Amino acid sequence: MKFNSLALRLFLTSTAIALIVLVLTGFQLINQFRNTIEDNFDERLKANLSLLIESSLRESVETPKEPDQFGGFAFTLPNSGWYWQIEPIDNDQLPVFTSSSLGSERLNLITREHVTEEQDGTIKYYIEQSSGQRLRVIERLISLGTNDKPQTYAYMVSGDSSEIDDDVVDFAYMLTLSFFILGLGLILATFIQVKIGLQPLRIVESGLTDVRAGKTDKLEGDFPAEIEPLQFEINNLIKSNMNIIERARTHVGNLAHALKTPLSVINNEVNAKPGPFADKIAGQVEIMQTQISHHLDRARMAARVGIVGNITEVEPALSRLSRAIKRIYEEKSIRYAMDCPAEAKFAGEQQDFEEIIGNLLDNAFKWAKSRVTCQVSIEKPPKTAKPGGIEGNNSLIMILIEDDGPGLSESEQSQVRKRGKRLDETVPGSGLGLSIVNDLVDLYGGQFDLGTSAMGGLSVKIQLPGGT
Amino acid sequence: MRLLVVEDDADLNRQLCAALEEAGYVVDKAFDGEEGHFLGENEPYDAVILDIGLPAMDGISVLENWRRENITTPVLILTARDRWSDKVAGMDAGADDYVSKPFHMEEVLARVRALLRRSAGLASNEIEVGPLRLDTKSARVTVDGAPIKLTSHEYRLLAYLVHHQDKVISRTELVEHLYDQDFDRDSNTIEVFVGRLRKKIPSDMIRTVRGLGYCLSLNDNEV
Repeated sequence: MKFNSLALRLFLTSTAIALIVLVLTGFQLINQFRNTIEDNFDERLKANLSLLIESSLRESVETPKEPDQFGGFAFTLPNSGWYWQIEPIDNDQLPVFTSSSLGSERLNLITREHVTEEQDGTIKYYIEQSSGQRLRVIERLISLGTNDKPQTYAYMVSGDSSEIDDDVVDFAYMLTLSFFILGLGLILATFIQVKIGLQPLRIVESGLTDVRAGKTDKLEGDFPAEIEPLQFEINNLIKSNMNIIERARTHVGNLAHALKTPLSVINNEVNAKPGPFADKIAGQVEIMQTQISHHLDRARMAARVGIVGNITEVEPALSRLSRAIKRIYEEKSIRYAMDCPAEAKFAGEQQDFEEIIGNLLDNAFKWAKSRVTCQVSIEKPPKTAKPGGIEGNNSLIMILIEDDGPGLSESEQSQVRKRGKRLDETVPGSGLGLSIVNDLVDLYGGQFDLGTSAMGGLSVKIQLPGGT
Repeated sequence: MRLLVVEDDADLNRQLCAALEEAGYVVDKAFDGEEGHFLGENEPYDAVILDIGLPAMDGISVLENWRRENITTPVLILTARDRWSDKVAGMDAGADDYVSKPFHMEEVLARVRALLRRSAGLASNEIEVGPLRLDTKSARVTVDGAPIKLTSHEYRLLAYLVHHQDKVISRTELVEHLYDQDFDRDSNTIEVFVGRLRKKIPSDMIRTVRGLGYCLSLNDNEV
């Protein structure tokens, strides 16, 4: 995928946004979860703290006694993390009571300055034991003793904070996994969205390709509201482009045709007064004529691109041509046989068809001694033909024009196809016109073969795309 | 033989007329479609040379109108548009032949000769009537192989009679076909030229059919 692509932009932005939202939400959720777990943990510690206070003060409310029966199994298990401690503040004389699980260790008192006291007088904090164990501690200061001899005791109960951490890690792991799946889902959804959302653009693209290939002359289809104006503008652009080409072609045609009359005049003047000067001018006129017809042909060819969907009925066009040519060569009283199936169609412009066949028939009549034949047949396409190509799935039409004239040798046959070659200048007309036939047949992706007819003259076989 | 040239380019018109006159034809000229159409409608031409791109009325329309009015004069079209579709359109409108511009004058002359020959039902440029032999290409006449000298007026008269051999041609028809539109129709010069011709070719070949006109033929018993 190209970096500067709409699909990539849409894809990257929505993926990035999804990622950021998911990560933030994840952190938020984990935090929330941690608080809840901590609160639960703290509640348990508080309950134990209350029990500790109660059982230590059961006998005397002035001096705490070591509680004999307190807590469960966890408080007796060494290094369980579940500890308690009753410590007289700032007094070394009085004993410190600890749970048996704490062994010889002590819970370290912390400075209370940075810790906020809860409404019930407890504070909570984490500490790390020298063994590396992290503990969650809940502590409460209780003032006991007599009025003249007050003593403050710190009551502390702790639990192993790894219980909280484990829960949070478990939760975070589960959450990450779900969010990962969710993220994948979102990315996939974005991908599909981009695909579907940008589909019309792809249709526009393939439509434009068809226009350029000459398969259609406008961008067709029912497009979404955002693309419709674009479609409208593109179609107008195509139309105006075609108009410009058509105008330019008409101008070229008009110019070329307008030049032909003065050229005739010059030609005639020159022929009337022979001499070296006249020869020079005649040569230049000849060059001008060649140039004009060359560029006129090219303008016609160029205009072909973009002309689509033309179907020419072969039989009527061929009959019309035959009638005209028979009239022109009436004097030669040539026996002419034409055989054309009525359903034959040519996938192209009638003008081009007439140009191809007109030139070929004209040649045949010009050179024939007494006979000309023209046979048209329809051929099924070869099975290997690529669909959509010029040959496509359409049938082909085969046109065979033969005469009984002098024919052409093989070397003449190859020469004659080149532009501007005139094999016999004594027969009036500009060359054999075969090069334009060749160009046109090429343009339609057809085939053009010269050979010798059974009657001894020239045989011309052309293959053109047929209409379906 | 009287021809009409319809061509809007003054130079080309002049050249065509000059070349045709030199070849022994009587030529009328028109410079636009309407004028050409009018002349073709009202004068009995033997052939017309018609340009397609004309002001006032294009050549194809002129031709179609003539054919609709049953004017069957052979027409040679001149066209700058040399695509086959253009040629076929011209032939469909009723033309008998075409010449693409730019052309060589000889080609136009050859086509005109062919048209005249075709309309007279003749097969060759050389027309024979008994000992008389007329070459329309070189405008030469021989009697028993010996060339005879004719003035252009005499040649035109003889050529017309030869093209229409065995038919009685009225004096009026001869005047119409041998002189351009400005000629004084009441003149008696036709008789003078017939008289001169009779002295140069076997005199019995041109017979006077009283009250009808002249007839060139070999067989005395006919008509």
